[in-house]
Amino acid sequence: MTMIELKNVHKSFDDLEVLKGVDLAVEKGEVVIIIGASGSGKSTMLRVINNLEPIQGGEVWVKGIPIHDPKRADEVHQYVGMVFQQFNLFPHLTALANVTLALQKVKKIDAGEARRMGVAALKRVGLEDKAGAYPAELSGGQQQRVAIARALALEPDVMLFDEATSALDPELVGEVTGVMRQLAEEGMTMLVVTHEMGFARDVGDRVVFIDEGQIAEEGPPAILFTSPSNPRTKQFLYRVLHR
Amino acid sequence: MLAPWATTFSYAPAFLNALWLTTAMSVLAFLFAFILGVLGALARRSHFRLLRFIGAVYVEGIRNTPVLLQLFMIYFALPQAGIRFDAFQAGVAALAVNAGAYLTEIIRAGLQSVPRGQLEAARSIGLAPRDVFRSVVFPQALRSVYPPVINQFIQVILGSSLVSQIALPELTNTAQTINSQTLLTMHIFTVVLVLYLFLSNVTALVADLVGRRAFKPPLYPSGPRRRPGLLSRVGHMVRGS
Amino acid sequence: MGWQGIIDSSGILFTGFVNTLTLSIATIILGTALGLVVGVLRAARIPALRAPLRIYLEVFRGSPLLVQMLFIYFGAAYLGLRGVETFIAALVALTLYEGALISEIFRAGIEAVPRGQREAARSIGLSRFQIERYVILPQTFTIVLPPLVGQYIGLVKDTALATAIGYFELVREGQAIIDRIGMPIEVFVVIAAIYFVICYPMSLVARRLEKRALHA
Repeated sequence: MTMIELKNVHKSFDDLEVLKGVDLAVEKGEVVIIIGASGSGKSTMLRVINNLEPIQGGEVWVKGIPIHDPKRADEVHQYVGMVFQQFNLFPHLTALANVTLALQKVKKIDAGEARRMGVAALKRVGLEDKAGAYPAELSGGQQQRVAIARALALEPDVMLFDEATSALDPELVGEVTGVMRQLAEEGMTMLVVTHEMGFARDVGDRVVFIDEGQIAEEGPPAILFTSPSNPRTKQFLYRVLHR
Repeated sequence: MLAPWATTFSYAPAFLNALWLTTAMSVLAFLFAFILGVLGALARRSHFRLLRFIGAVYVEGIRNTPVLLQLFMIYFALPQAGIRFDAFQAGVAALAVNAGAYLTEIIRAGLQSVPRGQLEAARSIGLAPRDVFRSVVFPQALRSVYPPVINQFIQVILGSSLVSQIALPELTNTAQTINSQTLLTMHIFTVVLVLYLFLSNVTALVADLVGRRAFKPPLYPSGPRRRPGLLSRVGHMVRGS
Repeated sequence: MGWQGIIDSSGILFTGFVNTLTLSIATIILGTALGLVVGVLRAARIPALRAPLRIYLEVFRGSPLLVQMLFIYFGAAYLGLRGVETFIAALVALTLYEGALISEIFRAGIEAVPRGQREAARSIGLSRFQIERYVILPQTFTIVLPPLVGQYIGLVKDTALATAIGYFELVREGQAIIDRIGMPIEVFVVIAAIYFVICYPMSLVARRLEKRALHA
């Protein structure tokens, strides 16, 4: 079953064209890693899928729903969860309240049940003991895990990770990728924009290399990382792997 | 040596009356100012061009002319157009209209200060626009707006002294009157100065205590305070926001 | 009579304008100088000066400018300094008041310069004065300029209070005209327009500086 499908997607910011005709299909349970230089359009692609950016051309389908149709665009949030580079936790709410907010306001679940579900979600990321803590009292890695729990609590079919570990100190990256690995093992459909090549190689079913707004090459990590066919891919991998 | 002080304190009832008048006028003016500030901020963020324009004219017109002139316009000029206020009403109106313009900008900035990422995260978990505002934008805007709003209230209290110029017997006017009767300038003005310092510092202190208790997580990071003074703490809060 | 009366009074208005401008510029010069000195001294955290400067600041920021001005004007007479001109009394009060506010702008600006700058300057052997003069204050300048211009707008408007002690600035001259020809609405609107013409361009400058400081 195809969870996400992009057909010839075009996206511009004013005069700058960021996505120049992107086609991509993601199957249920697949973990797709998106790599590319900064400014290549990889984050924009995730934001387009999650209806955070309007597109100028093409189609975006999520679970058979046309997200490019403004009337139905907001339905995407019922099926897709997103994790941001800057966490974007709500600073005035505790970890648990961050997780339960949408359960109560969107899914209209009563407070007691929402709380039970919220604690369960925090448990999945190993933070049930931090339920009462405010974001400012948590480390970056813990904040990002709460953000993952906030998305997971809504039981999404797809999770989008937009450079989820880029803002973290190196020693905190592992706890977040650990949670992401676990999710992948449980069969979650995931689109992951990342610079963590080790994670990409281990967890990814498919790696997509984006260059200047287009998909330049894609394939299983074992092949793409060892013998890329596109010279631009080769160049990019050489740069990130030999820093 | 003590006789002048005895004379000064014999005017205690007049000072207390004046203190009450100053306080009442300030509180009332601030309440109206706050309403004007909310309306002004809404107008300036409106989808309608005309409302945005009216909001901008209000803010710029008020902020670029002296309060005293605004007070004189309301008290001396409006009767020419058939609108009459007594001194107290004119004082409240002038202070409210003036502070309202500053509050418009404070509230507008507070709403704008909520980072984009917060809105995106709120949308990503499916919150409806109304809930995005109620649960995410508003509580955060309230936190960032609280210190400058309190500061504005203190400015209203201090600004209320101008109403002495249209002969309302509030603190400053009372001081001038007693001064002309007794010529004990030093004693009398020391007393009013202290009374104003009392009002502004008590306001800052109470606002600070409320701010520490009412907001969760606490509004100001706990730990040793760098500057223990009351007013400068409010000033610090303003800059820190 | 109509607007003719106001046009006939333009000489008086011009005098008021010049007086407002004179008082404003004098206060900007003296208030900035005072604010700079106090701000630097406070940022330097000299123990002996800490309490007196604090008291100065708390008193002048925590009480109304009008009361300060009346205090100084009547107080001078009380102390036997007869004939202290209204201009001098207004200037002293405005300088002390605006100086207090401006000192906080400078102090915040100085403290915004990272510690490392001072440490680096010390380690190349600059003296205390040289550190402030050549390293800290130049960096402070861009931070301080937008709020400083903002404060000057407030200062120009604050000069209107000098009318209370009888200095013939714009508002006072306006009242004098009204006493003669009436028409308070028209006269006050003209005076408001004059203030606006002085202050609004300053607001625009402050806003532009602020944007530039943010992008710097």
